[in-house]
Amino acid sequence: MERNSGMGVRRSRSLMTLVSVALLSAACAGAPSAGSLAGSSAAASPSDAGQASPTLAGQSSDGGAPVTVSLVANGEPRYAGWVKAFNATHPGIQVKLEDSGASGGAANVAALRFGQKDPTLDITSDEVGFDIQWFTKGWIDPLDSYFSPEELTAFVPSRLADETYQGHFLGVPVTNSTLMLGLNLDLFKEAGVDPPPGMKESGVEAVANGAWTWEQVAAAGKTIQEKTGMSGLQFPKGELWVMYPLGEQLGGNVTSPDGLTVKGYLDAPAWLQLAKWFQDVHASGGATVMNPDWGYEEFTAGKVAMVELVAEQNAICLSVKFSCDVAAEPHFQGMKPKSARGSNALVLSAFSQHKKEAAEFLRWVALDPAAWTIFAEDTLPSQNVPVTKTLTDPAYDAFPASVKRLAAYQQLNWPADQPKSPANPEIWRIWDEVWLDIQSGAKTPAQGIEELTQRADEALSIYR
Amino acid sequence: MRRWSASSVLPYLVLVAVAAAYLLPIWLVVVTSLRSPLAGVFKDWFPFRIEAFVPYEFHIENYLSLMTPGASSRTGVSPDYGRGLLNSVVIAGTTVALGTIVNATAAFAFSRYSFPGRGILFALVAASFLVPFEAIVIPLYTIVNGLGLTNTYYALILPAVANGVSIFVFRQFFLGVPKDLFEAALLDGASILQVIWRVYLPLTKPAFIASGIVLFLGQWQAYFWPLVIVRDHSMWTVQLAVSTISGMVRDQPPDFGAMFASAVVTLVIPMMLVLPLQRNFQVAFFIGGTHH
Amino acid sequence: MSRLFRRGRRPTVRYHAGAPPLRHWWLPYALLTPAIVLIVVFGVFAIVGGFAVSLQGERFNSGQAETVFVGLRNYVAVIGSSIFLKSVAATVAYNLAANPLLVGAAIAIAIALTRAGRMATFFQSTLLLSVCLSWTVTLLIWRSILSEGGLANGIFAALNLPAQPFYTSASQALWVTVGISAWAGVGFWALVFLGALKAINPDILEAAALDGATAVQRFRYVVLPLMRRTVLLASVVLTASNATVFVPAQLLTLGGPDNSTHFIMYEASQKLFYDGRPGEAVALVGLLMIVVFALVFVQFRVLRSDDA
Repeated sequence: MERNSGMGVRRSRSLMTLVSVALLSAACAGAPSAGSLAGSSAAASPSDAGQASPTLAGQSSDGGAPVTVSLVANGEPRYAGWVKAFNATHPGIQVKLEDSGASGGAANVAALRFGQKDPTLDITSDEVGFDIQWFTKGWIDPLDSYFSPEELTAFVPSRLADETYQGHFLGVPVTNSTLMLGLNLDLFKEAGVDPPPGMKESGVEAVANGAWTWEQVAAAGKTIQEKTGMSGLQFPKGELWVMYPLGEQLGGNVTSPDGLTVKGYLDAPAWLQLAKWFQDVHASGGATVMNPDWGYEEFTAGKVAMVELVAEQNAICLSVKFSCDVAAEPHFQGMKPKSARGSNALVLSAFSQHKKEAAEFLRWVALDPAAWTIFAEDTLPSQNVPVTKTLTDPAYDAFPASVKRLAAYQQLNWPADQPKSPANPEIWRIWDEVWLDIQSGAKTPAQGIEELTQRADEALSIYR
Repeated sequence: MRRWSASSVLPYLVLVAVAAAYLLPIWLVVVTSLRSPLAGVFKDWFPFRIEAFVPYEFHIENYLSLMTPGASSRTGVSPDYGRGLLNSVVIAGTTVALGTIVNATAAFAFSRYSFPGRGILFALVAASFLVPFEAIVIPLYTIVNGLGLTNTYYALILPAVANGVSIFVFRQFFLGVPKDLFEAALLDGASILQVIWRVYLPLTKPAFIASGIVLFLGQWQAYFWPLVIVRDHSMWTVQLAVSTISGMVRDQPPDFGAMFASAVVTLVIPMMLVLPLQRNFQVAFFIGGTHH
Repeated sequence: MSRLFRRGRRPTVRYHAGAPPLRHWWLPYALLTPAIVLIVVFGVFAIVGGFAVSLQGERFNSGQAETVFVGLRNYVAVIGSSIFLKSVAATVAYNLAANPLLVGAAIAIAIALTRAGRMATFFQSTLLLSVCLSWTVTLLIWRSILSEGGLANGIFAALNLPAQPFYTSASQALWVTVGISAWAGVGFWALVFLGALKAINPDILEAAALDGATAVQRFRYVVLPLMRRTVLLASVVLTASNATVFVPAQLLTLGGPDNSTHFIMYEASQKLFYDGRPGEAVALVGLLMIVVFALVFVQFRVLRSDDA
């Protein structure tokens, strides 16, 4: 492959070295670009073999040929698993996975294609809460007509609430952002601090009931940092949406119930209190922002005692050398814990030419136990049956599989609210920028809250 | 022997500093890519030990995780990294081949002829490179989609072929070739093509290299355009494959070992193409003195 | 253009202004056709389309959205936003620092290369190596080195120097991004200037030296004027690329700390890729383009030579 062009460069004595290399490459290019689309796609994904070539032409649903439904999603394995299993059992429909790699990618690509009213886009995954903006813009169809109210009770109530906006069911939830606390027990031991109960030694009830307060976490973090020289606590930088449920514990709301007002909500005392605490805990040595931007590399390297963990990282203890444990998400003194927040969802394009078939796939992902199994292999599902099963199934008795049990417990018992605003994408982006400044001390808590509220208000003005 | 003086030593000091500024970080990337992903690839960085620059261990897991479809990255995605590399080489190579010809001929016309419409046509060229890609990505998507080119190599190559920077680079170098030289050669009975081949190419080799680099790297680094215009895994470019392991990914912690391994791979391939060109900067010469 | 298509008249094509008309009047047009066709299809149409996008927006009526012509609403919105002046300040500061730094450093390195004798080959290879660096790799390297627990602070700690916040500090982040851009770009431009320097007749420099000109004088009055085409090339291309910088802000600083790297193009790219507000994004770029076009026009005027 590269050999040809590489050799070409080295041998060339011509003045036009670069051009000759390029011409060689062009010669190579001829073959793949000319006629290999169908062939190469079949080679890349065996499950797609025999499928119509992936051109833009809309496939006709008559004549017995299977209808192709496109699915834009991020790279997590469950999407490929669902597509494979669904296609095997539904001969009339072929779902084609258009993998967008990085997980921000799917929402970006989908938004651009929605803006073009692209009829070849059928289903996409969103980012948490983006579907409300998309629905407001008329880009996606609500799924009410494809699910009966009874069927919707299949979902864990908090997940269903996440996806319900103005009485409409917008998308099938496919991720889980329940937060837990990862522990490096070696650092606790070195510093002589007793850790909170974790899933390694204790049952889920004991872990949940023994969850630390944030005050305890901060104090322990400070002691560990002083005694060991390692970081006591890390919050994932660039992912500061974890502040949403923390503020909700203190009684804060991001927007008014209709999602159109932030003044009087985002600048409420709860958020200022949280901002002060967050800045203090970093300034006083209870927590650090360390290399790299996400905490886990430092955590897995044994340099961090406690880390904010999302449910997707339930297997993190498998890849570390130190004594690793997972405890329940902390809460503020005297407040009810809230830890499960939001989820990405699969949504149906309003411009789809194959809504019936696309909805068939969405129904299968939502309701078929086979789909739940694939979901559960990857992360924690959103449906009552598999989530409840996680609480009792012996397969989840042993650590670290039992971490999923903790996530399930928290998902059922400690739900957090998801902001319901058409400006969710805008607010989230500004949120990340401003809370980073609060974390690092570049802005005072008051300045940060003021700027966040002002800019979020400006973003909301077009929706009012 | 030459006397050591400030003016003879200074250039070497500057160049050694510059070389160190590039070679040390790049060496660091290579060493770090071979660290154990389990022990943490940054383990000698802080607290600092000089071993940070010493390749005392050779963990190739980071590279294997790139090259093994299915195993790569903790997301469990299976980008075919090798396929991505090949696609990117083909796309960038074709763009360089076509772009060099198209842009050099256009620049030749701009620099050597006086004709009605030259100003406005050059303004079009300038506008095309002053306006950033992000400003036009939406209409460009509409255009390419309308031409039925979505999910084809054409969609990845054609918009990048005519490149304003490349035309501008050629033009500036062509303008430096003395007119008398050009006209003298024509009067001697040489054809235009002979003049271009014998007079212009030898004198403006740096322009061809600079322009080739601009075109190649533009394609090699392209991320968002392939992301929106490609539908099939088999057509993924290297940056799309990289994106599944990079720290840009929300919701997923970066696998730094794989990221550094990937950095090495994405560096090595353009280097193999570019380093053999370096001697061409040695031969630039000029009959000069006539063009001002 | 109207002259071009006037009935019954062929355009007058010459080699240059003073030369006699050519018989093959179509030759320059033929040479330009492939490039211009591609630029019109993928560039000009797209720019016009982008302008159209900037005049569109959604109107929300009782939950129903329709995309409508909104005139200058997007422009008014972005200019009136509280982040606008901060992003202008960050962009101006970045460009005032980055462009002269890059051009100056590139010329200095190119001059050093002409005086490096046999070692020049090695140093040129190093610079060529640097042009292979992508933004992704560049930022991976420097983010790791300059982060709070990164290599730079590791070395500082070993030397008992105080730790530096680098890109996490409002007073240093802008300079970190400028430095990283210069690091990533100077190799390419040094090679371009080297090409231009090599094209200068050594006899001229020798004559100037014999006339008693100092090295600085020779550079100022002989070398620099002879390189003005390359300086124009560099300053125009750098103006365009540095005015629209955003990748370091996106991958390193999220526009902070305290908006010190909140470049105009960073805000625009976030509006486009993340916020789902393409109209405002393109309007913001459009405003930026007006300034860039003006700057480029001025540069062409100032650095204009008889034929540049």
